[in-house]
Amino acid sequence: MKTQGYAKAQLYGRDEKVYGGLNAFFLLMDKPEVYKLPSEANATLPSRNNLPGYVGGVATAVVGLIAGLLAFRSGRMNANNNTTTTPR
Amino acid sequence: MEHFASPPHWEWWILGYFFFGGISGGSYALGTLLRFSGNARDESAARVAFITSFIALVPCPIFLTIDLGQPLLFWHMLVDTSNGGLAFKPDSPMSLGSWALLIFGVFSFVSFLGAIAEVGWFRATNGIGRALRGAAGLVWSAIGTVFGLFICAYTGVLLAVSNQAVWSDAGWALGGMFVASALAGSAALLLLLARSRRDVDADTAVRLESADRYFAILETILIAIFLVLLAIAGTIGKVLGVWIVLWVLVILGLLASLAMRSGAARRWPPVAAPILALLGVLALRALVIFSAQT
Repeated sequence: MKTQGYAKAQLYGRDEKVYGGLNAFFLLMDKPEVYKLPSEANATLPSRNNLPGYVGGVATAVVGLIAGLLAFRSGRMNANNNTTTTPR
Repeated sequence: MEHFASPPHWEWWILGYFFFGGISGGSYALGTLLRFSGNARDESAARVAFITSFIALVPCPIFLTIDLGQPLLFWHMLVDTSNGGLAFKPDSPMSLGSWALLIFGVFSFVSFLGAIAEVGWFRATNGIGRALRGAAGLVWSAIGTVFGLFICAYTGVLLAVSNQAVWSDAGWALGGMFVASALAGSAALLLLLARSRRDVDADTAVRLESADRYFAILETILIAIFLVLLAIAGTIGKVLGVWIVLWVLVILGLLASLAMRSGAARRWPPVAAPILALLGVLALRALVIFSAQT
């Protein structure tokens, strides 16, 4: 096709550049983006968010639990201090 | 990231599940924290938290199974019908979430039974109430808290691994944002209930306000990160526009939590700030769920 003047012609999915291979290939006459297909550059799957998503959740949970415990315990210390100083 | 999949059509049932699941997990965590704080005066609020957690959990499996379209096949989430074994897929947030919901349900139910026995509503479970006192109860509720907070977080991860703009663009931030929001909403709800009950210590309510403020700060940070990630991905426009109305509710909810201890807020009706905070939690989930699918 290229020798016939179709410089942008390509076999899409033939190699492993897009999602590690598609088990099929397609003759495109232009860049994949023209056909609203993922290109080599942006072909990432959202499953890549799986582990980072849990890590973000765990980190937030830990910070939240520590913050909550601090809120409950610091208030208790203040309450105890107030109780101690009241008789004076 | 190129988004090429059709929207999953997750709508009101899923919004209800995300909201009540978050409140259930968050309330359980707060009940545990109150017990770990070691103050006997917090015990009443801790019991309210465990009761709230289970009541909020009850609609969750109902909403989920209705959303499946074929509610009677809900057990397919847990059992592999091809070989009769368990359907447990560690790589799938949906599978992990199904199992976590089941396990957390056991912890929440047992803690609920113990709490209602201690408040005198149901004497038949006095034995559970006694068993959950002391170190054994702390261990039980600590393990339950892990599963409860997992319920809060995995809903965000579930969205993040779906091939939709906004959800997958938010990457790691969605799970954390939902955890922080669940904790803030649960603290607001517990505060609302505490203010309407005479047996909850006034000092505990003040400390719940402090906790809610910390959670709201955490939530604000994660919302900011969420928006930055969307801006980098070029999809921030999807959560603006008509969704500004929901953002206003989110911001009002955060401000209500942050300002709860200020002098101005003291002049508001006692229920105003907690209700605003809860509406903000609901609005945040609504705009994340709906904006990505339009």
